[in-house]
Amino acid sequence: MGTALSTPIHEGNGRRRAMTAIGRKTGKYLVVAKTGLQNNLAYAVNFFFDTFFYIFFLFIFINLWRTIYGQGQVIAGYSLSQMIWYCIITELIVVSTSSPFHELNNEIKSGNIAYLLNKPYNLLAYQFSHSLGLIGIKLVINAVAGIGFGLAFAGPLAGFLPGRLVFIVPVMIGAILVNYFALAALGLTAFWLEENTAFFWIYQKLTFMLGLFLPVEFFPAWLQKIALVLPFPYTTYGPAKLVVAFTWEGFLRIIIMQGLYLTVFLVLSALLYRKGVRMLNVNGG
Amino acid sequence: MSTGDKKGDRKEDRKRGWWAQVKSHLRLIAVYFRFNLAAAMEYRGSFLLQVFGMALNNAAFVVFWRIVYSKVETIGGYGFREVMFIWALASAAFGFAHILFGNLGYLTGMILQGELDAYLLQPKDVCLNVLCSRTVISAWGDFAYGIILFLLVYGFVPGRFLLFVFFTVFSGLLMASVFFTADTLTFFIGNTSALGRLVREFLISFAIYPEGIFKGAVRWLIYSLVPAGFIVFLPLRIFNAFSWAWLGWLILIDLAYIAFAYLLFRRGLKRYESGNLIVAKL
Repeated sequence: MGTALSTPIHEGNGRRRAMTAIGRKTGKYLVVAKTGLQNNLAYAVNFFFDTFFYIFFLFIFINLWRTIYGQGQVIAGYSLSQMIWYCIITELIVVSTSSPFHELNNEIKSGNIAYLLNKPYNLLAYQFSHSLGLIGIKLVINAVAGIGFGLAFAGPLAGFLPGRLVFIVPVMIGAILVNYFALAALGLTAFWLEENTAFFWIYQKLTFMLGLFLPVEFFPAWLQKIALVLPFPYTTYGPAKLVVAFTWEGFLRIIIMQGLYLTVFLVLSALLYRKGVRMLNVNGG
Repeated sequence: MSTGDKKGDRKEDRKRGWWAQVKSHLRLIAVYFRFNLAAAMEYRGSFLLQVFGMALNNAAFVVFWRIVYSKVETIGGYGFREVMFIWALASAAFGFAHILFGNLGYLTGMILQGELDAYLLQPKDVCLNVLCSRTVISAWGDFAYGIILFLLVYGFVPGRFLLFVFFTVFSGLLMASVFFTADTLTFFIGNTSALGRLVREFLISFAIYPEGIFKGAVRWLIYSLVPAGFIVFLPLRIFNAFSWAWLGWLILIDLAYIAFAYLLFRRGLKRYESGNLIVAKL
């Protein structure tokens, strides 16, 4: 019987202790997330500046797509309105995310990491919790601006059901998480490489090409097949596609692929961090 | 070299007239170029990685345009080749500007921190001396990408290639003078790093999309405050239908922007306050 009554007392105490320890750990990182949020709110002007650039890029892309769709045709299955809303969502995710690449890179290359290792937290979990506040606030501000801009310049998206946001929002969060831990893994290569910025550029451009600027349906059939097994489309294309043309099949495929890649990048980041810290050699003080 | 010797050189330069001054400053640019290149090549692996990384970074956009042009024939009057021309010119000009004038974008911080003191003591023009004393390694990738992209799309026809190189130099100088002007405003209104970022993003973004997509007030903007029109669009028109008259106008306009940036800096320098910062400039 799996009831509490049948559980031996010492086992119950152990479980309670374990639960308390998990609670303490979670609480610790929640405090870090709250601190991150407070820190970022103190410099709220910076967000508005980023939001301004977000709107500026949307302006350029809306002009570009309006010119391309001059004759009102449908391209690769997307109408002009769908294409504009696609860009609004993909850009929203990219501008609202936080990249741990440069932070980890700087900490490792400067040797500052030596001062962080003896703190009572896991550095990766700390960085992530600290970024959560930033991501949350950016996402809210940019979403309000982007949706407002979209409604004003492209009108409402035909066929969009607000109730589907229950499924779309987790996919957007999944996209941000996959991107975050992929970049964390790249940043951690600084333990071994003096200059690893080129990796960041290549990752960034693959993300841009395979989803941010263009939906996968624009690619030739052979490239679509390759793109859909890579992680990049699931950081931008996935959620945007669900916003402009939701299907249950698409939702399941995207959420499964995100889960898969999130696991891969989480494990990879943890391994790189553990291995990197073991071989770390910092000179000076 | 003693201070007395330097004063003597300056007097000598003035005696020899403006041409001697120009030659002397061109020599300064060349010396900085050689020195910065040698310093960058000290870490050859890192240099090559940054150069190829940036070239690859830019090349990704060719894929974007190739795919878009597989769906439509023209965008705002531009075909694929025209878009590649503005990309090649924008990249090469940006690379040229930042290879030679690597302190573009850093000037605001230097003014605010009082880091110009070291340059004020030297017997060369402060403006050139400040701008040239640093190089941006990844800019080599932008420059190489621009040149290679042009050659791949238009082939090597000496006259046309020379015209492209000419545009690269003048558009690079114009781009540098616009970025420099935004930085120089720090002398007058305080920290302009946000404004500088804004001008950079606007100028580069306007310069890499077909001119026809911009309408109304934006068209005025790209031929005035954010002159992407003179950096890529007008050169493209001259390249497609050569006209000496238009080329002359382009040169005059470019020189006007450059002169304005230079004079603004000279004026701003009078308002500069030393930071009493002790720095060694080798």
